[in-house]
Amino acid sequence: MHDKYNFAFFDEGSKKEIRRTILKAVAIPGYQVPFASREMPVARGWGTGGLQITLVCIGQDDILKVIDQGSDESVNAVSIKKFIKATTGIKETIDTEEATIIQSRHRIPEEKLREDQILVLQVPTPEPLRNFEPSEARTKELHANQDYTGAWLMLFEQIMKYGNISTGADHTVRVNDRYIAVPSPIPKFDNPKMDNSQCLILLGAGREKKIHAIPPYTKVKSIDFEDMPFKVEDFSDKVCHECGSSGVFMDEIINRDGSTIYKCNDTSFCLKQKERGRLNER
Amino acid sequence: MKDNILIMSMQKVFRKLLKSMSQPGVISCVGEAENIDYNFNCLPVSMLLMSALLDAEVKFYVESNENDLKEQISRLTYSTYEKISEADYIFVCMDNHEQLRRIISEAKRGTLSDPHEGATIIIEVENISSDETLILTGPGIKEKAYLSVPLSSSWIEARNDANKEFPMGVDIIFADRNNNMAALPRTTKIERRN
Repeated sequence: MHDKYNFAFFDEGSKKEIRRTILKAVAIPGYQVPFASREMPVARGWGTGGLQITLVCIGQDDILKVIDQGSDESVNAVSIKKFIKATTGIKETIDTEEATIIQSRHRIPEEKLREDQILVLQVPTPEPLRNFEPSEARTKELHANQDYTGAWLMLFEQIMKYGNISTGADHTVRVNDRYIAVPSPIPKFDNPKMDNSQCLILLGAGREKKIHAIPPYTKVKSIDFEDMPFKVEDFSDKVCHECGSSGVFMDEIINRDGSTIYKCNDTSFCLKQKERGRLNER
Repeated sequence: MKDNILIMSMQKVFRKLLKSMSQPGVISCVGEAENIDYNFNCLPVSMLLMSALLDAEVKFYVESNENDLKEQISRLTYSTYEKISEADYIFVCMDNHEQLRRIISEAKRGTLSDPHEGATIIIEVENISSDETLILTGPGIKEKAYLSVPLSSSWIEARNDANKEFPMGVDIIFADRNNNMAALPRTTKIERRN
């Protein structure tokens, strides 16, 4: 552990400001609260928003899990985890059930999260209306007036162009029937996990200097049209070639001979299932 | 590693406040309050909340019979004292509840564009309990949650009025003598049970 840094890297003044921001974000679900995003020893756009939230929340009793695209072992996850461990000395895990704080890029774990856990999501673009309206002053006004035509217009354009809703990830949600917000670039498959979630979800955008939150037991609805309802990716007929699970989010792997296999995207879930399978065989 | 007890206490206080704010009705016991070197004319929990929330970047107001409390708070946190309508954090000490209605109605509510500028009001009460006096619903609550604070109910009307135009509004934190706290973010609907 590096003892030249304060606990959890930040000075106490920075922690205070970010903590105040998080509390207001929780009080106004889905609203993006501006904050003075700090310079981090990780480049902006590489999870600094999530990292700042994790650092101000974390304490000595916490157990941390960090994932990137479902994997505990990809570069972004490993470097963030190493950094937090180096400045706090806390325990880390890959087991979703054991973790008390889970920082994630682009996925919500397969295992259901609980009230005593916090999910921290890294957000590249926190403004769902940004593609429609480039001015921040103007999008703030649109949120104030609940003028969300733009969000549906963008969906409508997709339908006109491709015949269906073509968002792959980051499908806009409406939180508590008021604000529209980004769920971070999680696949559509994960959007329903946010609705009435038992755990608190905090979303941080370091480069864009915004934090928004979804408290537990809060209505989160993916936006759609009555005659073109929101649909998640369908993997129901696919089976993981490693652990045999189905009904989870899968990675498609194309072999050299052109054949296709599927594998759970959530690696720690897959390992657990494999372990269980092995125990059952005995 | 500077193993500073204060740093760890502030983190614990924040996490408990975050729990109570994200799940209205959840009463968090702030055991850290027992260990503080305490010489303020307010409850230990309030003092911890001051330390956790205030600094030079925010303004506070305090309603107290003790004249020197505001200087004490400024010295502790570097935050400056402001009138109610300009304060980001408002502390209402025990025995000043008759002012509550006025304070809630004068407090900052933010704007439609910047609702996060609405004030946070910390109210000291004798004791907080889960007795079924107030029925809470809204984000953070599974179906219903219950809360009871020994206050005459006029504060509820004032709060309803302050929060009538969501997302503008005020967020309330209760602190009690037994080192407990509970929170009512502006999204929580309160129904009174007779």
